[in-house]
Amino acid sequence: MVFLAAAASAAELNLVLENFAQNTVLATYSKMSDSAAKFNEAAERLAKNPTDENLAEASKAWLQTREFWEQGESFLFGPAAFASLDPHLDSWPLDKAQLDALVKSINEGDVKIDAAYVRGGLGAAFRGFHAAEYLMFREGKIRPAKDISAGELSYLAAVARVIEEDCIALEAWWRGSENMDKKKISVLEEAEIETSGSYAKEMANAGKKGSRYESANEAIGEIFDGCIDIVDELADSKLGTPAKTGNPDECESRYSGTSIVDMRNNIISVRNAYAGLDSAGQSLSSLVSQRSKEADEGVKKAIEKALKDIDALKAPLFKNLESNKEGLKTAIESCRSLSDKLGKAREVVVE
Amino acid sequence: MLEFNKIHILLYVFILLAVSGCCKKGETPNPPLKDGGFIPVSAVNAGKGHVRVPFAALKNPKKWQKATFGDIKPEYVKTSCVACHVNNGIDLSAPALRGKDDKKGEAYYLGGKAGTVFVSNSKAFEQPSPAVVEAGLTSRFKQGELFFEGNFVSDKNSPFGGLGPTYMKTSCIACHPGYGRARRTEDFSEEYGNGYIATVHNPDGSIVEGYTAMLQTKSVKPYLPYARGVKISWHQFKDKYGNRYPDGSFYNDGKKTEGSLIYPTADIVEPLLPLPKNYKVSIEATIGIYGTGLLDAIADESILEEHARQHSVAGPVKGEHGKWIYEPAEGKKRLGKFAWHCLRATLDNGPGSNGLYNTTNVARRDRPHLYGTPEWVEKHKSLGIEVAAFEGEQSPELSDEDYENFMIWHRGLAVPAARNLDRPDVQKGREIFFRIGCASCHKPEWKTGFYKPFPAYSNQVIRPYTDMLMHDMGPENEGRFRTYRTPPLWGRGLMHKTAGHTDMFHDLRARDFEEAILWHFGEAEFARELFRHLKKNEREKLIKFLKAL
Repeated sequence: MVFLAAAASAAELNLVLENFAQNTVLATYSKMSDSAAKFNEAAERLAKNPTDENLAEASKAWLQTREFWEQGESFLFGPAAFASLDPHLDSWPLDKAQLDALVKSINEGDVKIDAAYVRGGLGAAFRGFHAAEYLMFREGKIRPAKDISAGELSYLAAVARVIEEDCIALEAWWRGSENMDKKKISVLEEAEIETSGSYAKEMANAGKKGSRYESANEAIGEIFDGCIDIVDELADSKLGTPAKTGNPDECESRYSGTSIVDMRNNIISVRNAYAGLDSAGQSLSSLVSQRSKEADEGVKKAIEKALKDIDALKAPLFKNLESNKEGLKTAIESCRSLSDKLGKAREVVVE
Repeated sequence: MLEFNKIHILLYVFILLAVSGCCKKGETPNPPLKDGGFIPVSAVNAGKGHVRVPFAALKNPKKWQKATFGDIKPEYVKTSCVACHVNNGIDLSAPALRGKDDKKGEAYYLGGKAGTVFVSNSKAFEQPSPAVVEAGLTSRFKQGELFFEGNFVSDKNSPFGGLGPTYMKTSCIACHPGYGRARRTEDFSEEYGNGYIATVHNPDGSIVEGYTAMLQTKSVKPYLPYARGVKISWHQFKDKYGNRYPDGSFYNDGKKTEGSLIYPTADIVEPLLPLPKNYKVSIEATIGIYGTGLLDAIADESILEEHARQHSVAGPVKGEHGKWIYEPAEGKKRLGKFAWHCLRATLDNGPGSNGLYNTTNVARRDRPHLYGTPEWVEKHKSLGIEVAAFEGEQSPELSDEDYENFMIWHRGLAVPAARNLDRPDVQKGREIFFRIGCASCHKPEWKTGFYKPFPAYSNQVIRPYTDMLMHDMGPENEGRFRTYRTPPLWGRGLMHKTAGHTDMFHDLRARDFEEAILWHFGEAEFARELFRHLKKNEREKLIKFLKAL
């Protein structure tokens, strides 16, 4: 005998949405902007005193910020997209030739670089995580501090400042600027960045007045779609393109050699969005499991399988494309399977 | 009481006679009544009955004998005029709201069965159509999508290589936030979300010699862009009613924008090449990508039929179709129908295919030349900058396979289904949409023809709400030209979710639906007038209908 669970009540769904927005999204973004502030401070210290220790500190803070960013890639809908923060923070590939030309202009005194210049005068190709990465890393390793020119140091400091601003802006779009801490607000004010509303509130209030989501169901669907999107991106692009072309330049984050770390964090992002962080049983997973244990187990197992297959790849990816050939195939397959399971789970919950 | 009713009955009989053609062809038209108006001579000559038209309705009452519909002031056009002079030949019946098994009916399938997805969240414009999925093309669709989202870079040998020497943006998505339309900006240099293209043109709309149709303001060193930028200025606009409705309330009543309408002008910053004294700079915004494959599937003959319908009776709406454009891939001429001025005829040679090239200057087999002008090349030579590499054909910077995938993605982007059509307010809004004449240009329904590039899109009943024709939108909307192709309305209600804004119109001067309607001048001014005269709650219902699309 089959018991069909009744459709989830709107109140139940709104609770899941609130948990998702607060405990997963905002928890991730506040840690990200905290780390970005540390990265900015470290980059400033490095610019003043370019030692290997200071560079190691800056790159560590960059990696930490990057980790939270990648753990947020299953929820790139909303502010990350419409406030252009995704392209501003994470444009790939990098325009190395133009970036080198810019560094040359800075060193020759033709360009006076600061955060305002990066923010207003330069495109996405010259800012964000990968510009910073290129300045600090080469071929998977931290550069010797002595190799980094004065122009690069001041450019890195400017980029780090703008990364901090963008990370704070992303948190503010979700949290609502009135609920941000004072220090973060002052960074936004100085950069003349304005945000409006609270996307977290709109999600939690889906189906009610003031939310762009017409129903709680629609917002729940959005979370599923965000997860499916990043998993598909792994299969088609992050893993898929280097696997197809064998070109090391196709590996995102190749300068720091952290492609695999990025992808691992992407799957963790999906796990966090699906199972919830500190969700007290208010998660997509619990909604699915109440209706179909099989569908829920399917997603959970597929997440673990994808993590395992990504972990099994030999790092750094750009140097090991040939030896990872089979491993890439397996990881791509497990991402496709995860995408499929998420799609099935979505059908269980979302009308 | 009895007397009063008698008079009424007599009046009705009189009107009925007038409408049913009491004036026969060849008869002398009724002499003008001193204050009772006249019966249009053309109607009499055509043997058609007509109600009397007051002289005051004419821009020049003295010329009443030669008056055609165009001589009537827009504010005198009534819904009864719309019924015959605008809605002639339009099927007013509503498509089914319910299908079999109580599922969503025809009405919701804006992109037909092959092209509609039931997604209404922030990714509503990014979905592969059911036909793409069914054809097993999802993976190629995703591969193609990478070239829409990715940033092109200047290094030829890098992935996404080939950017420049001059360019506008490094990616397509920069101008199509959320795969939809761009948003309004004051800063042309804004990279993302700003989807303006600028043209430097002569008063007749032709491009100033030496400049490209899309002004390129970026360059890879050592090359120089055509200009260092574009300055955008925003201005307040007041109509002859002081931006008020007949009920006395302001436009945008109760909003932050109350009583205001705004529009932009633009000028060029540090131009590279000489300009004539009377040059102009106009900005136009991106339209949107989803569903264009289905629009491409509309047969040229169907567009000509709609053109003929609009010209078959006297009326305010007289669309102009695009020119016949030779399409090398098909070996024949096709009717221009894409972009604001119908300058592109097919999707394979259309705004997306071309945009990928002229936004980034990435060469490919079907676009082997520099997107640039001889004057630009000469200027560089005179400055001693080496440009010989750009003079002949260039080797492809985008492979055939990547481009084909890009086109599979482009053609395959689905249209989101309509929403809330069964709500009484939305139903009423639909009725008003037809009653005040919106449906003439925003033609609701088409049946696609045979579509060779993607046969699954053939014979689909689609509801884009555009006639694929250009209309004069009045001097108020004059940019490079005064005519604009009617933009589709499908999916428009989801812009807030997908792109985070509701800016509309050719240069994004309209900040929401209400303003968009209020910017309808020229051929559409009668509809603007009828909208103004609606009751507040009727205006709201009309907008609810638009939001449901």
